[in-house]
Amino acid sequence: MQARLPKSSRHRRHYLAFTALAAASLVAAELAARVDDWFFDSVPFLSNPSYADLLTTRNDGIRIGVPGKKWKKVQLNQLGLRGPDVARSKTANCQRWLFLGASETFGEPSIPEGDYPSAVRRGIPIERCIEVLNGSFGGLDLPAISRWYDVVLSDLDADVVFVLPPSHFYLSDRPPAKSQRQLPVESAPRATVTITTGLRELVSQSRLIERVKDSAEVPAPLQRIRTKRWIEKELAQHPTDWPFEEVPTDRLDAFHEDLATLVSLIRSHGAEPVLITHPVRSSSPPRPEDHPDLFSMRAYVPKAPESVISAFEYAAAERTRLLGELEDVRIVDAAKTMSGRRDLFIDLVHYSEQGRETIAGLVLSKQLQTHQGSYDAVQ
Amino acid sequence: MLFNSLVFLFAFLPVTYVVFWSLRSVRQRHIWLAVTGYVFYGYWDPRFCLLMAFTTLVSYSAGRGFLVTTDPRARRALLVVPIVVDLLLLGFFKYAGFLTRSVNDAADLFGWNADLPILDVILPVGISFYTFHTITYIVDAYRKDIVPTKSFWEFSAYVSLFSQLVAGPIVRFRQIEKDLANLDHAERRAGLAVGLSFLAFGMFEKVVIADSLAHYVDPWLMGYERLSTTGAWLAMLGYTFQLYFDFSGYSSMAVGLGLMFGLRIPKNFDSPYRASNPSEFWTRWHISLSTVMRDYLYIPLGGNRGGESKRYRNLMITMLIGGLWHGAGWTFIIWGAFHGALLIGYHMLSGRGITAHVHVGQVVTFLLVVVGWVFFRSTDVAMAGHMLESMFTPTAGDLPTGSDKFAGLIVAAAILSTVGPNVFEYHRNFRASFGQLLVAAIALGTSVALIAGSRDSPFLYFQF
Repeated sequence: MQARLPKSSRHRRHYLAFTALAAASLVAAELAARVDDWFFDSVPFLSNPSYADLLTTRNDGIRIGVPGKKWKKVQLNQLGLRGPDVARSKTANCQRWLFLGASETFGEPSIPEGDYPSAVRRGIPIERCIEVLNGSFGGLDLPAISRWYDVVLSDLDADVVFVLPPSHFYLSDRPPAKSQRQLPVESAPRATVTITTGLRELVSQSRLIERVKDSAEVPAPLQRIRTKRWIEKELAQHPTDWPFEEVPTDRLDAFHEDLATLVSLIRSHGAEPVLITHPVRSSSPPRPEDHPDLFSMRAYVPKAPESVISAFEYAAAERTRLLGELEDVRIVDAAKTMSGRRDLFIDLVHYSEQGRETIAGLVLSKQLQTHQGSYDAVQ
Repeated sequence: MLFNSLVFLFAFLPVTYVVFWSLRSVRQRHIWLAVTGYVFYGYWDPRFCLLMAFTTLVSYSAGRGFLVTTDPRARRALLVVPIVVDLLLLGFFKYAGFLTRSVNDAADLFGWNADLPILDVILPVGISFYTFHTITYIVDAYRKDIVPTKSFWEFSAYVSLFSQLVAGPIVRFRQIEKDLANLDHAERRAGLAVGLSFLAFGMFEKVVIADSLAHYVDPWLMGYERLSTTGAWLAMLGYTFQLYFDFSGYSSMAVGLGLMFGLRIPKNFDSPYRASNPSEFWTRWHISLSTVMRDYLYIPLGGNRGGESKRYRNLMITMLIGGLWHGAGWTFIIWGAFHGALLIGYHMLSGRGITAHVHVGQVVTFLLVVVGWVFFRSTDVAMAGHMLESMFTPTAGDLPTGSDKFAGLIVAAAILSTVGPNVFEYHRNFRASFGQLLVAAIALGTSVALIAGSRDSPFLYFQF
């Protein structure tokens, strides 16, 4: 018969056993995340892909998507764009639709087919041959979209080019520059973690932690404190009259001008531009429940108070409609249908699954109806 | 809320557990379980909490009525009223749309124009399960198989118990009334390790096995018109194992969660694909439903009494209603009829002394069950017909990408579900040794990693 261990020893043994079990669980979780990625998405077991891996620099200095590259649930096709493989040359008797925009159009990276162009693709009737390409990446402002389209995507011979113009970039300290813009490497600022370098390295390479960060939300109060600190830091670096007090019309004019340039460019390449008004979760003026989303957006554009962000988004949508009238460009008025509807968004500008389906439905109902005649003629 | 979600695992469950065990009296624990049940349920859609509360109140009141009256007419009223209320609610939310559509379709067939408005009613999650909980309670109270509880909170905790609220098992009050009554004497330590282990294994079944299969099954069956014969068989075999591990996983998690809170929830699956005949299959598959159907429908209909033809009639009625319970659609009715026919065929043959070797029986039963799942999974009769045609006549078509990996998963699932021990068999000699806890920790870690990677899909049985 074994002698009974003293209480302190038993506690130590329990503590050790619990630690070992927790460690085993974590190791199993990390391995499972890697096996899962390898089995279902063919991500090499030992690699640590990041958003930056999706992009490469061409010989002429232009940054493009890497064909076949994977990151989270994003799969770039052989053209280097998010979505299934499509031949560079358009299939005979088929239409090709190209979608341009920023992260709203690029979609959710942690959800397979988490972009609304995929929802458009799924919604096309089986008897219609339409190839849908998503030519978007996160962080693209209008001048960057124009250059990206002009230099790279115009070769794809799209018949219709849909533009969902991101407008909040125009509330930055400086408006988007008009030349030499590239696909940005990072789509969003990342929160820094102040822990020791070794541990940080380990954390940054863990696919388990990456998954948890994607699926678990930082509690709202904590997120708010973090954003508040960031904004206060930015404001402290500028004079007190630095923030916008009202919607800056010069910025709206710049938005309008850049969008008009892109429309002309699309037409010059022989495609038909279609503008999608930019919907947002907030109403204007904002409701109390809109403030957390607007406040989060302010981390990206600290110069613009929440009320200005909201008003600017609505004004930019109005300018998009106006441009449509002036330039005779077809409009998909997503802002009219979707803005202010909280269930269609996960934050101020990015869509929930229902939001993606809604915007795709709007695109399809507008475009399929319009092109029925020409489609019948082709057939 | 889903068991396989981070918010359940890392917020709801720890808070519920810690508060539960810090409470001392049985009444406090009943209240806490009832409240957490409503939080768990309301997380999906708080409006339907009112519906559950109403059902609870009606059945509880009837139970109290049984305690004070012996008058047969009053007792009969106490039996009928709550059951009618439950069935009306179930009928409205689950079958109203199907009924109006069927009437319109039937009228169309005869050239009439019924034009009944189609009711698109949202089906409250779990209504099929909690109405069965309350109905069995009322019937048992009427039959004097149980003494109805005087405690509203105890009854409320029974109905809204989060571990078995939305997809069963259908736990009868008599099965857990002792545990519910003695909750203040439950031992925390005794249930924690084994409960966590059940939870981890159930999670593994659902997240790792069922959802991995679903990764292929769902898109393949979405494009079922294009499947070849091989593709159709692979898709249906995949679904066969997906459904089993999905529901068995849920049931194992329910058992584990019950044990963590001092409640012994009975086994719902016993390796059903090992069954060597259709009758045995129903003693192994969704055991809580098949025993409820037996005790509250088949036997009251007459059961085995009254000769073969009556027995077969009773079997067919029971299976048809069982099919309809699963869903308001012709495919479920056909599925029920198919299993009714299998049971009748089996009893006819075995009654004449015709039996097969056990392994032959297992293979034949398994294949027949797979054929049954075609109806169960199909969105309409046309899809079922198309799938059966693809499976049983040589059909050229697609074998979608990833079929090699899919086939590998099916083989692994087949081995696990037939040769390997099921979760209850594994836990038969559970002693919470370090090795056993290590296996559970690995299963849990693996599942959490996959849940975090967007594998928080709902359980298949939520739709029923």
